[in-house]
Amino acid sequence: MYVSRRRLLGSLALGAGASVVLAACGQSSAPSPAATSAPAKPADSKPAASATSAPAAAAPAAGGAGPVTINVIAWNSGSSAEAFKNAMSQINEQFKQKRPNVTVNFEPLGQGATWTNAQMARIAGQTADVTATYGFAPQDIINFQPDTQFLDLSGLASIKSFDQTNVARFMTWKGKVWQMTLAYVGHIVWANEDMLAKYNLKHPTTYAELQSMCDTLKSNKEMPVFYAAKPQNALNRLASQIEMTVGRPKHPNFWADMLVQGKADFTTPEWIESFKRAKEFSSKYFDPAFSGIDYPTGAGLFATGKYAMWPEGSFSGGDIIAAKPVFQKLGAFNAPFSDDAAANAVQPVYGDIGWAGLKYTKSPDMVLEWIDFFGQKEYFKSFMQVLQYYPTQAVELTGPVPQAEAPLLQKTAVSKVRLALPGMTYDNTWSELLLSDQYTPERYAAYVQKNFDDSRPQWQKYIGMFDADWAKLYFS
Amino acid sequence: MGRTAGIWPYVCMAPALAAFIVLEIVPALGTSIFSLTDYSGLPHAPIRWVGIQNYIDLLTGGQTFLVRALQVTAIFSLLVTVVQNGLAVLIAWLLNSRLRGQISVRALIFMPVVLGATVNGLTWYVMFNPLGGPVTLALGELGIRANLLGNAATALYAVIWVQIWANLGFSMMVYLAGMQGIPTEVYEAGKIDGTSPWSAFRHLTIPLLAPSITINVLLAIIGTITGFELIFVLTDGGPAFTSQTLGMWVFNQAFFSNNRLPGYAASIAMVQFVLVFAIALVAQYYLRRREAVL
Repeated sequence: MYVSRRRLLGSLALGAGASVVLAACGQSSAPSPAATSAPAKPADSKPAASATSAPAAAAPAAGGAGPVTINVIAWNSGSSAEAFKNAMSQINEQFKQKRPNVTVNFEPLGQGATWTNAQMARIAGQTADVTATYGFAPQDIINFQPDTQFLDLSGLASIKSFDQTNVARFMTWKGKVWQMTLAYVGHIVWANEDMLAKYNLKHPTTYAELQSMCDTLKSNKEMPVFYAAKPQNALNRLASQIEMTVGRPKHPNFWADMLVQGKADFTTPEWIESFKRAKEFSSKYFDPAFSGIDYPTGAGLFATGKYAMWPEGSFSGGDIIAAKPVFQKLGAFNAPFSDDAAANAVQPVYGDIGWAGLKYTKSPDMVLEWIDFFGQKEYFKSFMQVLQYYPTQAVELTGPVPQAEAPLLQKTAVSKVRLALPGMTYDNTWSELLLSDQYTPERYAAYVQKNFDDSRPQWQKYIGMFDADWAKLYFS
Repeated sequence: MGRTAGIWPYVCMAPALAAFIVLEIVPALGTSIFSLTDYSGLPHAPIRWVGIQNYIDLLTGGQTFLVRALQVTAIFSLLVTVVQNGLAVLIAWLLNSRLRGQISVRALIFMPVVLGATVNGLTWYVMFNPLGGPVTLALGELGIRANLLGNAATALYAVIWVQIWANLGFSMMVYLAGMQGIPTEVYEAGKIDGTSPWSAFRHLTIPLLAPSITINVLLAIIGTITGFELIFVLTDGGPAFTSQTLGMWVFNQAFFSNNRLPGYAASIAMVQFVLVFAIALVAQYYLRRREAVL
């Protein structure tokens, strides 16, 4: 059959045009890359995230003489990302001296939702051997199903170096250790001590003292409180601090009762008072632009010295120092949102970064050996010295951040920030209360209760998964 | 008797069709199946068949967020469709002339289309920065304290503006092509009858642009109901869920760490599909009836 060149070219053009139209049709109002209905590889689109390419797959050799590659993924830790990466490099170089045939590739994958998506993509694609994990809150246990996804670390020698309460609380499930949680973190208030000293202000221990301090600062045209609530997830620190100091003392078993029995009442006077103080404090003393300030820029902005305080995680201390603050002294105090100084002395804490070996890895022995190596006191301490989080081993860290934080750890309790069960419509950030004017504290309490009750069919199946003994240990 | 092309058109279309089936149809079918399971995305984790439980959970337990997402999506879709198409027609009409520099203007207006959602989103993310973004500073000069992406009252409208800005060029080009396909004799006949330029636009150009209007309106509706890229970059669905459209909600349900429920997210995606299908069908029927044929 004769086909002229003209007809052939025309058919090619038709085919190319058809493919463009079919691909673009129904996806977007412009021919730009569109979301598909299947989970897609995440794009690192936030300014603080780093774009990376997929790592090479682990080599099939299981230790021994053959070359082995272990791919380790973690989130990008913002301002201290470079120091984090350097600390990892140093430890991995030490490991290479012990195991010359093993190459450890470390890949930081973004923050927040970007990290979560990238992590799931790597795990689903089985291209990571070790993943950083958050520290074993109930939702982590449900989401990750550690007994089916992670390697058992119970036999690792270095686990014995860890504080055994932290091992039981932040690493153990069904009697086995599933991740090596290196650190836990808390919610505190970072303070620009130079500014406080300028106005002879001391760390407040009650809500009245805190308000008085903020009023003094405002009357001197200073901005009392910095907050960076974009994305709004960052608001969970404030909510966590207020719940711990105002709500928890009246009902210490609130979250244990929720996890074990499925019961919760968000309309009690202490919850309404918590919502009221959150709204009042943020409206009066926060930078008015707080809801639009980009969270990854938070440490740098606080370091400019324009603000007196920042209710934030202890994990941001290293970021503040890395941003070279203009003020001389960085301080911290436990958030005093209650009228009771003793209640205000309790810091909300929760497990944070840890390493988990993925069960599908082709090099399980080497992965276990690497995690064990990382947990040895010498390397653990060097890493924590960089990270500046609360260590889960008894090591002494030096620097202005550990110095500021040490007095605040006399009393701790597990924060509510990671206790909502999957499917439970409970907003940890109280964002609709704090970022809009559509709810009064009372109406918001009723709204929260309604969402909790309406979403029950989705999360009820998890009740019974956590028994009373586990809950008692977790919240002790 | 002329020669036929035989199988060659089909041969040329086959690779594109295969790509479409593999990249669009298969994932869509996968989503519909996942919506009937408790799929978690974890390797080797058992996948249990739950039937329509995800849909029941969505309509009962998730109704607060579903209703809100539908409201936000309706506002987003309506405003973008109407404003984007209205502006695009007007600009195309103005550019449909032999004025000097019109090609450069066309290229400038079309540029955001080729830049993509991430670049466009990040550009305006910086522009709207409440601590020193150019838009904030400009509004500050007018005495307005702006926090456009962080304010629950303005965030959605800021996102709508960026969506329109990013896609205006594509709509404009479709309308321009449509206008250039209208025979000049039509306008000459109108001139003879004493038609003013504005009357000619209203009574000649618009009706004859009906096919272009159909395409652009459909694409705008479908794109705004399903899209989430710009919203993800600009606001992540916040503040206080005021910019969380259906597409954004699907994304957050599937991938956000605290609540990773891909099976449930798939059920929301299926509801979204039904909605898009129904609206597109109705819109297409209505718009096609209005198409004028010369």
